[in-house]
Amino acid sequence: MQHTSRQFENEMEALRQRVLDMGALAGTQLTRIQDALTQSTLVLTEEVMRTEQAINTEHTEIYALCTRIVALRQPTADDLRYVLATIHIISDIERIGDECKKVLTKLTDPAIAAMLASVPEITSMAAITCNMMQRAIAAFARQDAINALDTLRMDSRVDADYAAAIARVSKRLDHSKQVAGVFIECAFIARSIERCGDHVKNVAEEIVAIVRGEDLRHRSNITP
Amino acid sequence: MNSEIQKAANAVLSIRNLNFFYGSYQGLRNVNLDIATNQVTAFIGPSGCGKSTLLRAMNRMYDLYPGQRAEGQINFHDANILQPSVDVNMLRAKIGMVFQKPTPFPMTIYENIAFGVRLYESLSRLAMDERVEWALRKAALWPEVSGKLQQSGLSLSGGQQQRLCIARAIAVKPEVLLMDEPTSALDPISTAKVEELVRELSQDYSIAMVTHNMQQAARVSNFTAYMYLGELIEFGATDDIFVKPKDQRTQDYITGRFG
Repeated sequence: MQHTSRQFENEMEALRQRVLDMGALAGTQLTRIQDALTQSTLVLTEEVMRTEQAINTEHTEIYALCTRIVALRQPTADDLRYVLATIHIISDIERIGDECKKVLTKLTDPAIAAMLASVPEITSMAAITCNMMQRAIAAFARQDAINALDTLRMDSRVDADYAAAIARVSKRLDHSKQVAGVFIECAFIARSIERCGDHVKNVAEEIVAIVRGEDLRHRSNITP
Repeated sequence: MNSEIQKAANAVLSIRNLNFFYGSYQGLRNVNLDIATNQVTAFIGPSGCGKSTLLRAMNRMYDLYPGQRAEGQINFHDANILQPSVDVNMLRAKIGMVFQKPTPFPMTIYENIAFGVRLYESLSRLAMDERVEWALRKAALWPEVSGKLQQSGLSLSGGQQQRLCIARAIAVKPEVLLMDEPTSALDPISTAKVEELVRELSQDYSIAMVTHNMQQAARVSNFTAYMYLGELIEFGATDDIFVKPKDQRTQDYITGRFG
């Protein structure tokens, strides 16, 4: 049912739309990582930086919108959960943006790109994280706790790939004559993608909090 | 079930299967609820939902109007106050009421308090002075009126008049205070003072309050009841009702999605 106050309804709808837009921007960055790793697509630094800037702007403006809604509307129940969760969600998306920028900047180095291409687990991590992000955005749009729960469970695969990637990179480091710096950068990139997975997981948890009012944070056993 | 029993043990008023009729119109439908001792219970809901009717049943205020009747039980100290044999004057001393608009008597501030006390107790002049001061202090009004007790109660501001009415209600040492939209005619500062007072009074009294201001219910109450069309839809801890209500109808109402 819609709010009696049309203006409040519009503000909540605007908030929803802007979170979706911001999520889509972060999703674009993740897709760029995936494309660079799987199809050796060239990373265009300027576009990356523009997207990163747009994400930061959204973060600031959506936060201001949330503050305004709390101050003027005093939301309760699901509205309250929605606004509070949104504040967390945009902060996670903003961090995903930061990690993506780090990764994409490093991917412009041919030596790093070449090394990454030979670590399949990192490619896999990027693909799963990309998929998680798309699902999380869709789950937010539909306020769908079931899909949010499915999404957050995918993070364990990212974590497993991360462990395997680090193991593979470390092993090669022992036998390689290549400079250690490249290996370390690869490990950092894997770490960044792993963090992206964690942030998407947080977003998914927040969606469950909005829909069901359950706090899943810091809980190890999550049942549907 | 265990928690039900526990809840009842702490209840000052236990309302059971309460139905209320305005002539042939049924204003309350099978209401069951406990008013907890020394807590604030808020009643919210759209106009005509029965929240004021319920409050007025709790001290038989409806007796004053022919054609109105209540069926069921409102238990207070193991006795059903709806029984015709109950002395309603004594009942209203134990279960006092504060109304929406401040209603001081056209008397001095002192007499506004003393008048009610004399109906139930015969106190010496000194004891009465003490009682008046005690009630005015309890109602957080003493510093503002201590020098002008012989002035008319009507000379006070609206917020002060309402606190005078609260002082008048507590002067007879009730156990329960019923408040029917006690701040709806007051400005925000007076409202804040009355809300603060309600919080403090709840240490000594059990308070049932009807309010149209949902944020007020959220701020001052421990328990909240949401009523609609004469039915109790949801009743629970205020923290739960305003963050995670169980019933969709409660959620729609408190989030402003009502019709």
